[in-house]
Amino acid sequence: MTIKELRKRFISGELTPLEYMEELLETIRQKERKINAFTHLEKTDTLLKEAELWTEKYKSGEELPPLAGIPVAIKDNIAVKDMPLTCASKILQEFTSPYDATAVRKLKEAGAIIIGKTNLDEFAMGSTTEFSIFGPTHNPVDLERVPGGSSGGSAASVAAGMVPVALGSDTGGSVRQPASFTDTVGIKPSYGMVSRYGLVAFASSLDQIGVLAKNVEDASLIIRVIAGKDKYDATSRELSVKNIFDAFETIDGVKIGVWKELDNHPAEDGVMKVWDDAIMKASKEFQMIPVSLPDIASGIASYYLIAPAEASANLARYDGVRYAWRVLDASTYKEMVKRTRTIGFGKEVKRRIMIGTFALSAGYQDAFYKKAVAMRYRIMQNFEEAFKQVDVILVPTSPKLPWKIGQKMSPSEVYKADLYTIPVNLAGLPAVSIPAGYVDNLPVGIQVIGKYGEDEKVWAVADKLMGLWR
Amino acid sequence: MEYYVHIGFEVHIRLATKTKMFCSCSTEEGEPNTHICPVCLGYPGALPVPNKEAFKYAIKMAKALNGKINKTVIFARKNYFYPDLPKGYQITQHEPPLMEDGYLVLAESGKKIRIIRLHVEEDAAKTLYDSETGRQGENAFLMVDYNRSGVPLAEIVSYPDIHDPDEGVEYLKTLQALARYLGVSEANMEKGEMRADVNISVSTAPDKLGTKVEIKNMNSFKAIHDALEYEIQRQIHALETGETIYQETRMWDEASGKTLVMRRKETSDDYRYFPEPDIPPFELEQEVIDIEPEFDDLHKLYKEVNSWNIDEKKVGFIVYSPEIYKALKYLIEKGVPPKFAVSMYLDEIKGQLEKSGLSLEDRHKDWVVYLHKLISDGKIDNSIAKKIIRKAISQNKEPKEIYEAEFSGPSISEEDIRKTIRDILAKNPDIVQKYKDGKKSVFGFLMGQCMKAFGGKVPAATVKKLLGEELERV
Repeated sequence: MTIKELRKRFISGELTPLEYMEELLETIRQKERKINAFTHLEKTDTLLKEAELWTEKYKSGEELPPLAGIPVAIKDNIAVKDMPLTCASKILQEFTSPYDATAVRKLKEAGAIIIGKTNLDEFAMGSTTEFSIFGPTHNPVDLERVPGGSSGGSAASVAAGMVPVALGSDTGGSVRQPASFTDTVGIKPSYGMVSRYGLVAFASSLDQIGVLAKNVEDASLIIRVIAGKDKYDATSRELSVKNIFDAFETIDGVKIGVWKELDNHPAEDGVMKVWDDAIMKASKEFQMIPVSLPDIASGIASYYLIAPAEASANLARYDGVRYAWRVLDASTYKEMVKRTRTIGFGKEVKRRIMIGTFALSAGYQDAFYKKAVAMRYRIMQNFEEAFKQVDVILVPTSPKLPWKIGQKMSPSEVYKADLYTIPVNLAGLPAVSIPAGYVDNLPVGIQVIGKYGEDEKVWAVADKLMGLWR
Repeated sequence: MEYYVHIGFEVHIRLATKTKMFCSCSTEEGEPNTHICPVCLGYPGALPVPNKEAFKYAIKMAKALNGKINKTVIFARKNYFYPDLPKGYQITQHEPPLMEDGYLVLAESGKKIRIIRLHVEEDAAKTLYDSETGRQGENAFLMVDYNRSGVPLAEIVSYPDIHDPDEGVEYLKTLQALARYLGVSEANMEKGEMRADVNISVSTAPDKLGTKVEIKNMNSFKAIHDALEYEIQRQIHALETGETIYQETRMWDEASGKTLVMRRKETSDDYRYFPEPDIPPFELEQEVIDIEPEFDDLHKLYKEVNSWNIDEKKVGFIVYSPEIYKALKYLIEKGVPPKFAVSMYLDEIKGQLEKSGLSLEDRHKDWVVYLHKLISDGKIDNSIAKKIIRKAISQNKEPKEIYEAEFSGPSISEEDIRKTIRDILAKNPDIVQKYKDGKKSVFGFLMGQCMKAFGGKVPAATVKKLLGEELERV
């Protein structure tokens, strides 16, 4: 059931927000113990009371905001007033946010019910949702496998039917890759489309709030609600989106680019087979044009310097001085900070802080950080060139199928799995990952990437392609 | 052996915006931790949004320092850990600064001090130590007041063009006065609105710099002067005895009158500057670029005030006090002679107000204009003017009320005055005789008798003139 359908039923009285909430809570009761999608659930009483309130209002027949009574889950690195904001980290485990993120405020104003906070890799650094103080999230498609990450909790909650939509965040693929792994849709908007105010910063120039849903329509209408320039985020922009319930734009004559160099950087066999099938199906409906993006594979090197560099500064505020947890028995300020951070951060977070600090250090900044920034511009130019010939570009979402929880992989192996998603963040472009098929019952996603600010077009194409591939 | 001293300053001046640099919290003083929000506390997820008003203030200072203005604003993160730094980095203009390659002309000497740069940045919070928190021993804590966190600052860095403590203080006083003339900042050192760190080195050759030592923690001009005096002697002593002077940061200790080592720098600090990704670079708006400061050279003012032929010791004070300078200038333009203006406005009115714990207000200027008019009209003299001022202040009235109630009375005709004088002379024939015999000093006695008789209602000059004439007639 899409959000549009839900709303229709809420209005007709065929289904009430209260009944729907009870259904979802029942699903959560049945599945959450095995999936572990949530880091925090709002109290049942509170949720039911809120759903009841909307039920009454629907009965009264008054004009209600677009998402009235629609439950939404929020990744636990996005601030919701009076809810924990942990980033799945020990260092923030005792922290409750005193304010709403702009995206959350807009959802609330649109009538959405915030059902709880979802699991993630600590500070959104990871692609499996295993590295959380709340333990790993399991993939609803196959409970022994990872749901992807870092928005694995959001993806799993949607995939398991515990919630119709969830907010995630995407710094290097953290919405799209979990969407691919859980057979859901993940939208990463153009950089600046959605305010980052209240999204705990990992890498500020790459972070974007995104949405996970069962279909493109639901995901995109949530973006339409939360998009817009925000006076609390200097990097936010007013990019054009349609009214919330409007149909997608027409896409007659749209030219689809297919990444030419994929053969040099292929995904594993099963993924390639789904990819080939998908391209063939698409070519029956669309004009398909091979396009060259020669440098985007260098995105990994660029990203794994820029993101840690920014993170090394962004995570400096967790010093134990002002909020949340700290060691209590330190005798000096220096010792307190050192031990709080040593114990409070997990291994991957510390690894990235170290890499980032090094990349910015005097004497190394030119060779590492500045070179990475130069490479980033080159990748932007690659896309600019390609978009002279086509409207959107297709690239697989992940080179790998969802792997087993606990599988041993070196950091660089894990980083390489972000090959297809990272260039999109470096260039600030809009992209959607949509389900494209299965390999041995494991889902495979493909990304539709668009020009900066042409998010609506990307969604329209993605919606159409998803119809073809399903 | 001759020693050469080089002194340079890093001065932080708080810009007088109503709200902070990157959030909308008030910059007013208040109870600790009352002007705070997620942004200036560095809470997770909070983002900085630049307050472009700050540049309206900073640009005035930048232009008054005569350097090249950079219209593109790029903020950077300066990374370091400190309890008063909530984000673990300070947001500051690194490259380019708002202004570079400028100079400041010292007010008194007219000497040019070259300025390396002026840039805009956010202030850190304020750390309160045991003595300020009132906690001691077991209960001792470092406490932090975040009201100051994120307040906009202009940092002004000079070349080491200053050669002695007096010149150092003159530099700071000139800078402070400039900020006040421009309305950029109150720049009170006691309130921390202006803070100065100093770099000082002593060498044995005029064109060579010695080892650079930084001194911090000086909260007044006197402290800066004393610290520089002390440090120069310490370094000269070290050079004479062959001790090593380390490149280090020292702290001025007011109690002992010494500079003490804070930390030694083996290598230069690595702040790992990089462009602030939360704030896209932006161009200053044309209306900001077009702002032209109304004052640019305090030395010109100094020469002007000097030409008033007033007490030389007061010239500096007047130039460094914009409100007083402006008031005096107003009075002079109204035709009040400078000496009278200074004596009434500065010595009498300001002096008396301060005794009563009050301060100058705009209306006090017009007191001087009014009293000057009375004197010009021969209605009162200087000493009555002073009496009127005192009474006006102590009774919280306007001079006009005092004058009309107590000193104007029904005006006494010249004939009546002469009559009274003649009566007095008639009562004192022996004194008049002494005067006639050439003992002119008795004039004062007669003058006193007359003044007493008139009860201060006739100006002394008039009495003096008429008394002289009457004595001749006897």
